[in-house]
Amino acid sequence: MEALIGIGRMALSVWAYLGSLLALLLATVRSAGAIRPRSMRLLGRVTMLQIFFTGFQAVLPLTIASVALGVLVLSISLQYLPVDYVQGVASIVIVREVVPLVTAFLIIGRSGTAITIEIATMKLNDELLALEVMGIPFTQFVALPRLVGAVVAFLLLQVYADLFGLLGGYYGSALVDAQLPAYPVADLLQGIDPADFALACLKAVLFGVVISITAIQQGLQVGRSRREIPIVTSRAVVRSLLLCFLLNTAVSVGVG
Amino acid sequence: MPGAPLLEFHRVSLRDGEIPVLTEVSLTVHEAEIVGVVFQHGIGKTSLLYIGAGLMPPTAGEVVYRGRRIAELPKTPPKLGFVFEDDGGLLENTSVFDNVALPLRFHLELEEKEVARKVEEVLSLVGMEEQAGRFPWQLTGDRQRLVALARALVYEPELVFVDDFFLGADADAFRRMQEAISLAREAHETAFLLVMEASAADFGVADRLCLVDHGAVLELERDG
Repeated sequence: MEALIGIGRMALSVWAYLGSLLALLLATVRSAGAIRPRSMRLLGRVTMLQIFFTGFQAVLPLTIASVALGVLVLSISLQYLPVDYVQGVASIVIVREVVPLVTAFLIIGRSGTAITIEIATMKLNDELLALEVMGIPFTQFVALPRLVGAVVAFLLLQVYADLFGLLGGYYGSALVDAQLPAYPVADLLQGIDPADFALACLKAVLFGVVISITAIQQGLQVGRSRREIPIVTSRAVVRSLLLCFLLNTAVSVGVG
Repeated sequence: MPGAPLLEFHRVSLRDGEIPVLTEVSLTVHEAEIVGVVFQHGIGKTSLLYIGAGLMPPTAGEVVYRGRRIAELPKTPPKLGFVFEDDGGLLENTSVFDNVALPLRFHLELEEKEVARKVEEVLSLVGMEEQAGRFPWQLTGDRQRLVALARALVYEPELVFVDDFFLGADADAFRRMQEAISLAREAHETAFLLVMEASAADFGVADRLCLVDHGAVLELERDG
């Protein structure tokens, strides 16, 4: 009986948590509709900075990770599958499944943590209260640029990682094992199914939203002490990862 | 001379669990008036200002701004300014100039040249014009609070809350703060509500000093 009550409580807390994420997301999206023309330039600049930092910070590790995974997937595929099948594997495994998740891992590790720490610090330093007094809404000035920045940067990084994963995998696998069967690189690129690419883009948008909103929500959870910052940051990382895994499965199985 | 009532605390109380933080505090700040509130024991200073600015609800009582409950006060255009304690509430990763320019850029459609003129003007009012390109973390706490005062004054609010400015402030920052407050009142009829610990009670610019002891206003004294 106690176990059942425990499960029930856990389910309720998960439900409440998802509700709070959704409420924050809706408030943030709604704040976009309330942007006045006079604030546009300032908010545009803040958003561009977010896109730049989110994208820029992840470029190098994403290049390394996508090439390494591309080499792994293509060389194993070429070892065990006929060459004609490799295009399909590249489309499904690299473009649709692996790259979105790898991009998510890196954005969670670099930008998600940065967002949580930044917002937690802003809260502890009274910066958020200062914005409130000045009539500058948190959702519009802080949350929205981070949400848009994460989604746009995720999409750009994903296309970049697809390219490096495929080309790096193609040339890298040939370098790693010269015995592997040869085929034209154009075949590999032309084999990318637009439906797989569209699904990957859908994941990019969903992951970008989940990572940024989770990071923002956790940043807001700090109370009075800086000691709470590592706690909320690690919680943001774990929750973002779990939500991305669940969404990935739901999209791949449900839509794909 | 101070004008009509601007901000009124009506029997405001605040409890932190079982601990009384503020007990039935009643206080009025008039237009263009500078009120200093001295706390005998340092408890409840920040809470009083947060409640006054509508950032925190009281446990009992209410705060009224120009006859309207503070919670109902429209956020835009901002009528209140706030200089937070410690580092003033400045955006850490934004330069001094951009911190002060922020409310102008957000609320007003001004040419960048006009923004720069206003920011430079208000920064020189607090003697921080040479620090415009620096970041808040490159400044000491009292200098950060001077910049926060400049940011609060740049959009010409009706009332500015100043939380314990004098904590750790050197004589120069102290003097600049006094001058800036006097000039802002003269130029824009800005009212100020300043809280401080008893050790800073000799701050000379206030029209009135209220003494709060154990959460209640015990004494009200008018200077000159």
